[in-house]
Amino acid sequence: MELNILNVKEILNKALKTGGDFAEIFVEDKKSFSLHISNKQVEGCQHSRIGGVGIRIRKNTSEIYGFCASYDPKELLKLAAKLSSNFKGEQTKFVRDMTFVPTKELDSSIIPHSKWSIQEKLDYLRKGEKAIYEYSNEIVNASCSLSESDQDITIYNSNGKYYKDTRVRTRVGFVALASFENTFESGAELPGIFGGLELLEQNNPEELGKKAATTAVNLVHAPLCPSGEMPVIIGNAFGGVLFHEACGHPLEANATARGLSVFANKLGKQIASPLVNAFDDGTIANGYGTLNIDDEGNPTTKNQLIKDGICTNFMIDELTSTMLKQKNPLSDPERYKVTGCSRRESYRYAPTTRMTNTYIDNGTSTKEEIIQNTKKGIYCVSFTGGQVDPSTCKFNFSASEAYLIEDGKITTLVRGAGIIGYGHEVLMNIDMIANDLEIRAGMCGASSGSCPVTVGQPTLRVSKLTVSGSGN
Amino acid sequence: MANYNFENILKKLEEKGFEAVQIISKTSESMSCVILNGRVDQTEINEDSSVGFKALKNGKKGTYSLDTYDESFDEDIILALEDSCTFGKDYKKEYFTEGGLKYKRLKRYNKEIADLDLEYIKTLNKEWNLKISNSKKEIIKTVQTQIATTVTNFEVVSSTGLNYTNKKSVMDASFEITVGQGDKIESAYDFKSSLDVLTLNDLVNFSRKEIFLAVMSLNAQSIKSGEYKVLLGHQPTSVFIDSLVDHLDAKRIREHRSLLENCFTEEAVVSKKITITTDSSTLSPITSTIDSDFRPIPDKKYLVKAGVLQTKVYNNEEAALAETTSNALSGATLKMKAGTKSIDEAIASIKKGVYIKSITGLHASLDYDSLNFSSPCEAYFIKDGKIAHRISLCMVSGNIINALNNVSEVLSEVSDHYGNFTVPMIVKSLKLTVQE
Repeated sequence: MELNILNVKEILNKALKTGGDFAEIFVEDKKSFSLHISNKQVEGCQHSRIGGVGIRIRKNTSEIYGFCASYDPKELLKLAAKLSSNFKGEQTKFVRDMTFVPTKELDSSIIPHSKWSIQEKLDYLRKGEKAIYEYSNEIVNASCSLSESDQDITIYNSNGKYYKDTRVRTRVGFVALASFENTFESGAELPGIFGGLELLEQNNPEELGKKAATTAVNLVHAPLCPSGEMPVIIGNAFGGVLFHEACGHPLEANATARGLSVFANKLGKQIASPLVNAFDDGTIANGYGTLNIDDEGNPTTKNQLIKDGICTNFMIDELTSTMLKQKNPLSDPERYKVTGCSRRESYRYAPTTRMTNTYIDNGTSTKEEIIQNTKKGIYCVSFTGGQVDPSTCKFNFSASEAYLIEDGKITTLVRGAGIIGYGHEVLMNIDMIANDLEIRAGMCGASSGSCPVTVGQPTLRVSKLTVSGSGN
Repeated sequence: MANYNFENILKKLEEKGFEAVQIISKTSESMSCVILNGRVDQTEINEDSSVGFKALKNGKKGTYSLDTYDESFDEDIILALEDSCTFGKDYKKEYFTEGGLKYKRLKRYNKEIADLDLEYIKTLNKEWNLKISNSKKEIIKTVQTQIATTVTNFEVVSSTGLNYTNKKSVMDASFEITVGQGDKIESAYDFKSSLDVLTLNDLVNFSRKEIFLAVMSLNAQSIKSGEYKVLLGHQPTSVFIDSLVDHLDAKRIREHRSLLENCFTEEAVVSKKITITTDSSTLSPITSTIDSDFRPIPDKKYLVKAGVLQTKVYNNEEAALAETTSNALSGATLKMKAGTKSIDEAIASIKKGVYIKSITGLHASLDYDSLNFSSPCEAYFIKDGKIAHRISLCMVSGNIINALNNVSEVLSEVSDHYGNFTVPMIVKSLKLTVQE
């Protein structure tokens, strides 16, 4: 969806009328489709369409945002006028020309969502569902889903530039629920990509279903996790949710530039064990959090956040770049340049700094060495998610699958392990990192809504963490 | 605000062979302002809209949603509904809510809120922010306050005669502070929603208690991990009650995902102290008067009476599948029957225990199927009938049904702060894990 350029210039000039030094129009048209089966029945087969326009005006570091669920130029002009009345002053900047800035073409290997019929998609899910039910008679429910989205955005700004991008995302989910002695446990496989139906071609539904069912059935027989302080080995791939929650969010400049993060003044300082190298990389091919351009039109980058334990950068957008430069007037202007990580769920949210694909890089140990070197502890293989308060770095996350480690060996599968701690302490307490980096798709919720991301890491060990569970 | 005309699309859908159609539209105007440390940080003015279609064709139900509507979307809508109905659930026309129902009308539109302008909100917010900053200047590090107003218009039209409209205005306020002493930093957050215009005095009173608790958190101390008698505040109680009632949902039971599937007997499933009814009469920002299908929610319908389950929760769709009738309880506001003892009296009666004011991180720390939880919490140590101190970083773990079975007392103070009208309660024992 594009607006007429004459209308765009009129709206941007209206937005700058009271002295704003930057204005932006974000136009979105997103078509989604979801298919969900549960208990052998189609529970949902729904198309939906999200569409509207967000307008942002900035004067120095003060920002106002507004949106309307309409593309009508008259409505947009009215909104721009309302927003600009928030500032007092004379217009100093004028928009006369608009130049299109080309971005990366859509990958030709993407298989469009329209290529398969709904029946074919349903058949794919049914195969996974069958595999789940066939695995064990302790399976009481199989829930399988497909979600597709095709988002077209156009961003116009008062620097006279406009950008267009198409974002195609696909995710499938196979969730098995097992029951034993009046309790439930679930197992889930939820791969997702920045791409189309090649995801379905790359992932065998029977294998995904069986894997989910295996996890659920094993877990439902497992004892509850004991509690206490102990070394914790965090598994690779979705184990990266630890870094995402405990350290990623507090490294977003939205928090650091406002002094609302424990890492606010830590650039150039040691914040992690020297073993740690960490990145936010929005350019990974097909990563679920990958973007060609971010929601301000800037290209995504591979941004090293931590190098050998030293904090080397934050995730920075246009606003926080200005804020950080003003706070640090003597520093090299390149120091706080934007990193292409401004994101929002939709036009309903003002964009802010968010993670894309965030991971800790490979170390030199092996997973086996880490386990052998742990006398007593817990090995968390997969997680249901977590959260953090960036201002204190307090975090929690829950392991959906964890094992006891006794005398250097994996022994008992346990369930219901919760982990709490302070992110900055955890980073310093990482004492072994393996060389088996993997990434996984997930969704991240924050002030600019819910965004697709990937998390990742190799297997690593934190020397001490507080584990909570109901077992003895 | 947008005002849609759905007459033509209803006609077109009928011509295409759809047997019944229901259209829900919601439009709203909102504004908000965030002040950070006395300075305007973010401001928003929004005009939102969403439209949802539910339709029946060949005995199958389909749905479609979009943000805005005009006739240029008609073709897309029809095609999407055709798809959705082809693969949809079995359904019948008589399960579309009919017209002529009698609704309770709570007056939730306040012109004074609708008339507030952004300048007023900004000024009020700045004053409030300043008051908080000045209240404990030496230890308050950051103060973020937000005030927002929203006016919502809601309309449902259908081919089966249902025509329902509603208008609501709310004023919301929230704040987040960080307090620090030496290397120690703690934070506090709270949220309030009101049908009346909030004054500076209201806001200051609302934030006062949290500031006190945030200060207390700087002196948090560890206690030994283990089992403790627990006084659960309004928020955790609301979470527990919501989770219990979620397992009464007919859809969850049909899908074999309910722990209560085989518990509809005359035996108590949870403590006999627990009675839960609906409440659709109390004027409050949270009260639901209609269910998810726009049927009037019955007032004081028992869901749990003295620990015994009374009914499953059927909406139209589940009723159609079970060939029964909807009991219009889906989405109802819940109310717990209050006891007689106050929180202060309860604390005074506990020799050694823990007061859990809130639990957090629920999306990750509570398993909504098994109802097992291992959640971070804001907890205070009770010693010899008094709150001794805040407990440092800790988690509470257990199972919600077991915990509700172990309730020894429900208290007297009813609050609508967290989505239900709940009362705090005392659980005989829950496991607390505290960072050493």
